[in-house]
Amino acid sequence: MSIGTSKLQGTRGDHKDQLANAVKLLLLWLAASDGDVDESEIEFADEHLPEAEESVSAEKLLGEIRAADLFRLEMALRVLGKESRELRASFLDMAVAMSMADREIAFTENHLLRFYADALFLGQDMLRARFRSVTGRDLPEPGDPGQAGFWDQGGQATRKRMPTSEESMRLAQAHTLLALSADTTLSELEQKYGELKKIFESERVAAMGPAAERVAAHRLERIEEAYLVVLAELSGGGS
Amino acid sequence: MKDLYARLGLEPEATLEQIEAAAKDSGHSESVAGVLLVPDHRAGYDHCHATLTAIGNLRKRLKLDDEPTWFTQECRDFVPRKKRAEAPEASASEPGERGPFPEPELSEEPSADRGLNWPVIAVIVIGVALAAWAVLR
Repeated sequence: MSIGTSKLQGTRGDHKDQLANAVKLLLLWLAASDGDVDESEIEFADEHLPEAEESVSAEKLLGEIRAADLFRLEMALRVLGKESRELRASFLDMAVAMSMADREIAFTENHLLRFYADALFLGQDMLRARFRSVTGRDLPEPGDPGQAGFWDQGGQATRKRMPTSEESMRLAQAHTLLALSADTTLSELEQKYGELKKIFESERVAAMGPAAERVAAHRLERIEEAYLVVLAELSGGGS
Repeated sequence: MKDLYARLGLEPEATLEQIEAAAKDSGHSESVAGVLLVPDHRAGYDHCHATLTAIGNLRKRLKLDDEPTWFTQECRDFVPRKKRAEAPEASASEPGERGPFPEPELSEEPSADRGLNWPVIAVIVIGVALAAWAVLR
């Protein structure tokens, strides 16, 4: 199995398939780029790798990304780059959401987001704006892994993860996921919840194919879970 | 991010002995000692190195390497050194590339970001002006 070996060649498949496979390849590169593939990313790969026959191991997923050569990645960027600005911006939202799936953005994810923003004609200003909209924070500088201090501070491997679906979401995590401060009000909660739902609603990402829909749906699930946690707290029912 | 291997004149597959030898009097001994000579740090660094190498090569392919972009400022070690005029075709010897590949058939989106072909535009403008002048005379 090799990602996109036939479907990204661009001459046979129809446009919809080309776009869907381009989005999938670029999102998978982002998912695997930190070398630390979490459960949601493996679940994502399970459902959307074309020939996946069983649970995909982290090693297998990373191997598939390594098997994707530069030509296919370039073709994927060119296919997506020809789409409307709205769709490209929507892809960037998906990429930001995926990069923040485990709360912190890794060095490689940071660089890939910056690269995608340039390669898709969106630019760094739009990336910073979309990053802030989706995460409520400023896009951090990536740091320098060529300096010993980077690794002494944890590097990109030791990152706190978002809780899996089996774990309860804590209030602080819910605030982070909704890009809200700890002293948020009910009106701020409702406003941010509405904004994030619009970013990840299925109608907005449907044109990008199942991979983007899956990322958006997963993010939406987490947003709704976080909304209920914060709502319960504000209503006096939190633990 | 510095490409420590390139600065030491080594490949990422270099042994610890080769790294230690190259690091002496290189001016990068502190970074080398804290990154490449610590196995966990080196593994993480190598992963970042591979990603930046791929990004640098893709930026070159997509003509996103000429302008003073954020990337070329912060990661100039990873911008392929050869100018396109000197190396018009992708080379299989460049790190991270598997080639040679055929040129993509898809056309690029017209965009100011990619730059304009000013010599061709100048020739067209001069030609139109001369034709207009000839007709009006």
